[in-house]
Amino acid sequence: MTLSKSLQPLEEDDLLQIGESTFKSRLIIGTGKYPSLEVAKKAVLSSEAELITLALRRYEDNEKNIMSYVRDLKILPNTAGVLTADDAVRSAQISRELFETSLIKLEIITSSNNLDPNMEQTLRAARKLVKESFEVYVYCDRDPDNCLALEDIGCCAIMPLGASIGSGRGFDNLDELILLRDKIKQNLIVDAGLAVPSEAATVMEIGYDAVLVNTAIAKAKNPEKMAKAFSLAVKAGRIGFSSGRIKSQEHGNPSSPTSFLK
Amino acid sequence: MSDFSIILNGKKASLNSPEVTKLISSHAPKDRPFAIEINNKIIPSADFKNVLLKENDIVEIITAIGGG
Repeated sequence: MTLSKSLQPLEEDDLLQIGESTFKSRLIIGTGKYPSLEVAKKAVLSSEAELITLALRRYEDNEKNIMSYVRDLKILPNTAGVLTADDAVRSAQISRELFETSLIKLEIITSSNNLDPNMEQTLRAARKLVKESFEVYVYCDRDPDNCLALEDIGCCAIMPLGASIGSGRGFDNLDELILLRDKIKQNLIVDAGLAVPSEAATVMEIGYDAVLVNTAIAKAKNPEKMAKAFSLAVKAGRIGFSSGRIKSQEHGNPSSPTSFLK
Repeated sequence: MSDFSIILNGKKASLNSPEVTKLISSHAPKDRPFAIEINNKIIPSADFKNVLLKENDIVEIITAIGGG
């Protein structure tokens, strides 16, 4: 049996359950910032993602219809651009009407200049949205108490930022992400900041359930190829995690006999 | 009914019918899903035919766009 065949069952059985939804892919794709909808479609197909994020905007009749490019994919509407819990709830309610879905990516930023999450408003909105039976995927900081509170509220995915949205810094603090994995039982997804596929692999290797990527793919020189690279990295990282890594040690440990032909 | 004005997606618009369904046929997209808010209240699509607009109503027609 080839290695790829022997890995097939592992991948096929390893489904991601978030709320009421089940996914084979552990890569979630954001659809903003692409040079064109055609490029976005190619990248999404190449990524094999099953869940994509979309935003809301006032209708303009000269704008292309993104919905015709993303047929057959599950939609995760976001509340992007809002600064308060009230506006986030309003955005979620509009999304539920528009997309006929109870899924919502709750994202409340601090200000138009600071895209990091406003946690006070986020916690308030999360409580309300869960009460209204939304399946809340929540963009949040890496503070364990905040993440535990979001888990207790009933959010179906806790999504701490790796680094600021669109920054491409990767991880501001990988140790904090590792600590969170130890504390949070709910689905953990890194959202924001990643730049390269190896960072997605790292996230998966430390036991995260999925990765959400937008800018790193959309603004790559070749988004279609970068989407494929992220897809492979997420799979590799997940298989690596489930294979059980060795412990790191202070000193080297020989891989070969240390004395010749004994 | 004589013409009256509403604020549609942030801009003043003149209408000659109060029926939301007429506003939809002239101003809403036909090729994609959309949602309508009137004075910050979401109107379920099942209620479109029952709602009438009046002078100075603030109407938003909202649809999907790419976003992360």
